Amino acid sequence: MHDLIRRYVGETVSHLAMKDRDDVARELEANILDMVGDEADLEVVEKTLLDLGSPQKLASQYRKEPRYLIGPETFDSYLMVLKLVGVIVFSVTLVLTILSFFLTVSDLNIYEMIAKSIASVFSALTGVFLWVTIIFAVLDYYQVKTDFQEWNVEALRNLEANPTRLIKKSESIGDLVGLSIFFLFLAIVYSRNEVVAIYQVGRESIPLFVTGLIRPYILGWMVITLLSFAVAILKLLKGRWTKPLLGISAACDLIGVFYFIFVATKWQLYNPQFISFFNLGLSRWQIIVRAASAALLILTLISIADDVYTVFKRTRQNESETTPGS
Amino acid sequence: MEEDQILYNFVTELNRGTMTLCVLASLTTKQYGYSLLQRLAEKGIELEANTLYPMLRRLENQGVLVSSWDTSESRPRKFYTLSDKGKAIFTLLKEQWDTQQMRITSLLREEESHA
Repeated sequence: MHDLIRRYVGETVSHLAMKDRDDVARELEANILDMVGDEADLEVVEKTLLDLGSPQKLASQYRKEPRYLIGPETFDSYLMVLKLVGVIVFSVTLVLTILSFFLTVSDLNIYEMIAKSIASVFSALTGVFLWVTIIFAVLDYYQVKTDFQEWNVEALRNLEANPTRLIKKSESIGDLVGLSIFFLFLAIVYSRNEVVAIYQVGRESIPLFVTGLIRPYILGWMVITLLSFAVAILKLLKGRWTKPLLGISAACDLIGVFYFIFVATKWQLYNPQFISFFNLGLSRWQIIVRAASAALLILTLISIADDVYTVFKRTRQNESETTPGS
Repeated sequence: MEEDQILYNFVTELNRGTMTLCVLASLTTKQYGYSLLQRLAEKGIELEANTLYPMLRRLENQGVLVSSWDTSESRPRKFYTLSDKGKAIFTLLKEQWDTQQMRITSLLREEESHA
């Protein structure tokens, strides 16, 4: 056999999966030999191989399944997640970097601070791109379904009929950013309880909490924040209010508020020095905390009531609207 | 896009489906790769070798074709023919083609007479 043919076949099958190589090589070799005939001179061999196209192209014909990192089916979801995680990580990194300038003693001037902020944001966003891409490439490789919204009659009817039931994307993303920052804040407070304090020039700071005691409660709060985070993601994916979603969201809000009240009314957590700084007795402090808790609860209830109104009241209106001729 | 390019794309798309039918139709008797290519060329059906060979392999993997190596000649050759499953599929595909072709032809003639 002509050496050129052997090399052409070898190059072609090198682009194929290991298990197919021997078979394809044997077939292809036989076919090419038939094409060039018995007494083939170099010119004929060259022409035949040129006509067959480049080994890469021929190999891709044998493979047939197009190769890609993130396919067209997944691309929309990929872009959405990339933007979403990008926005969150961008905001959180920026806020934390700027906060770090105030919380730690540094001798950076304003330009160095700006440069450092840009560098942190850039490095964080590079990480986001890398990891989101890797995760989606793996999902795509294993053909995991990433179509978040189901397409059925219900989804069809919900398209334009009740825009008031839509959950604004920006709202959910804002929630996610806020919750991320809050979570990191809790993590900082967890490791350095004394960071929440009254700072005075030339005097020792007065922490709000008794160091150490608050720690387990912070941990609980971090869990609840993660829960809220999960609900916010669910809201973002669903994109519109449904009754179960409303239930989950309201339950999560209420758990958060009641947990806050539970922790805030643990009077032994407060540093007595902190309370006396404002010239308050414990009883006055208790009244303030209780009033604040009540106000918080009322605000949460109002917000839940507003969501309930959106889901139930508007649904009924829209149902009558969508029935033609009624 | 240039007119030629658009036309070329349409023709490619049109061919893509019909080529399978042509290959199946030619494999009611045993053929090896190159003989099949020549046979199709004789009928004026231009199918590139680099399309045909991978196609044969795919059809074999799908169980539409069965193959056997003939090593009695000076060169070994792989012969392909329709499997039972392939015969059944070919019959149905042919019917599909006939119906489709009838409808399309009638549509085209109608348009012509209006034109």
